[in-house]
Amino acid sequence: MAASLSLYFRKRFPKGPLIDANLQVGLDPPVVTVLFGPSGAGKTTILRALAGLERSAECVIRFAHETWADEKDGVFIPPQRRRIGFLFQDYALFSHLTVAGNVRYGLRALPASEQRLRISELLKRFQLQDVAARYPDQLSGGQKQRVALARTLAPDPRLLLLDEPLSALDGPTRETLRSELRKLLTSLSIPVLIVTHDRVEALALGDHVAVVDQGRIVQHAPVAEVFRRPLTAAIAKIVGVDNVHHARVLQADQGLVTVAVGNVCLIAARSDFPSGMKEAFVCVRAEDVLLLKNVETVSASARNRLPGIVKSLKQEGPMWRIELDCGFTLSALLTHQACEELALEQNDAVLALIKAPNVHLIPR
Amino acid sequence: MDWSAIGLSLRLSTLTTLLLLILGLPLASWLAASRWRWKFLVEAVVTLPIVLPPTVLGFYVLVAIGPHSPIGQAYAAITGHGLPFSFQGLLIASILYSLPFAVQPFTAAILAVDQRLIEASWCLGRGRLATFFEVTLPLAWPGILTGIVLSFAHTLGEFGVVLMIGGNLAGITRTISISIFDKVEALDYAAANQTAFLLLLFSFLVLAITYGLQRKGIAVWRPR
Repeated sequence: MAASLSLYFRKRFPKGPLIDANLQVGLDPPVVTVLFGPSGAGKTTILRALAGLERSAECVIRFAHETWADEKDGVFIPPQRRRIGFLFQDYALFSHLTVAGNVRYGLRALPASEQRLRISELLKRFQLQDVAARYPDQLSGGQKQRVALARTLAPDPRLLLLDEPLSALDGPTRETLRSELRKLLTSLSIPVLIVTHDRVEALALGDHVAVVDQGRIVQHAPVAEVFRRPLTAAIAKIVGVDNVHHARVLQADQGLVTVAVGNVCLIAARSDFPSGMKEAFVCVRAEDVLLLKNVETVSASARNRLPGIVKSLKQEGPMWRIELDCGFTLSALLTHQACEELALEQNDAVLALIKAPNVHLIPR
Repeated sequence: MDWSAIGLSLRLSTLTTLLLLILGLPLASWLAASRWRWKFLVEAVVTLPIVLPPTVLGFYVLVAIGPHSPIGQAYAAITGHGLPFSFQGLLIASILYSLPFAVQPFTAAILAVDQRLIEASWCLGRGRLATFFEVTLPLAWPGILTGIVLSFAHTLGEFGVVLMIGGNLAGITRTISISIFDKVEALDYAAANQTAFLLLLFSFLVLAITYGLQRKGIAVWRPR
């Protein structure tokens, strides 16, 4: 069996839900796993349990061949000896230490010369040389985040745990740092777990998503799969995006970005798409998909016109969900009346229209 | 001016404060972190000296360290002389008497340190003791300073406990407040006023400086 990180954690909190989590993450190759779910679902508790900051009588954690916790057998490795990196939601920087002092904090075991080398290397990597002598209260939000990352990575952790790494930032900073963070995480080649309640963050940062709901991990799969094929209605509600597909970026100019999902091209209107991005997730809400039937030629304002075959029709309350095969699976949501008017049936050929502004791109 | 009494009081206050720092910090850390269900009993005992009349406290300490108690007997066996009416006996009583004035600000200051900073330190590989000295203490410093100042000033002004335990032996147990009382008894108001005014001035200055520093958010503690 390949090396993995496994966690079993069960605890009832007096004022919270019962946490009953089972999680297994492969370590080889290291992946970025997002713990995703509504707030109060227990994501942070799971992360803290992995760090050894949260204990329970019913807790078993194994990392590769090491046992970090097996409380029934009295085994508990404290956080100090797990060699993990934990990034706190509001960064938890030491306000009485400078930026350099914060980064140095986890390096005291090293000889002074190596400390200096490592600190300057990290300050450079995170572009913090100019603020090395400042105190945390003299930094911007983005700088604080970089200091926290540098401090967390300084002792060379084997596992990185990030608790809502972007939530303390304001909108524009968050957008920029999101793609930077993804680049950083993939360059680290250590397993990463990220807690977030933000869909865009989950899509942008994760390889895998573990959906956490009421203390349980209800689905754990590659990002696109979780968002495209939620296992249950409850999960579908949590993830809330109907169509998520992995796409290659072909071209980006004048506010229009052309991407390819498989062999199908889609055009998205997005003026702030970061240049140089090669990959993205395409998101389309099912209610933004228009269906036409029995058309030979069509002129329409919508930029995306995709011929497809109806694969299935399913009633969802007053609406019908139509699954199409357009080279990839596209889900459309139609009213009952619209469905009847089109007389849609399985294997019908249709044309799906999506306006470019309704094609949402998440770079990664 | 009774310089010998002033000297004695300063020595007593300094030693008491020092010992309270050594004993009070671990106790305060425990009080701040413990989730023991009977912790409130310990808290009540620590706070007791605030509400107890000094005579009551002094009386029981006197009994506890007297020649008939195990503590008193053990001390006499080791050192050859008894605790009551000695400087050492006074020191023990002072520590108990000023305990809440040290432990309460210490505990409040330690509690005010963000728990996540402590956890961040743990995750960065530092043990509990190292974390205490490198994170908790520097950040709790203003509150700890308050505790130091309060217990110093409180010990400096103690009267009833001293009288019960120490009596009135010049150079050994005659502290400032006893000396002032002596002068008033002897109707030497001028001498009493000299010493009393000095004590008043000193106490006011120390407290004013402490609170002044706190208002500035204590810029004093920033190493390097």
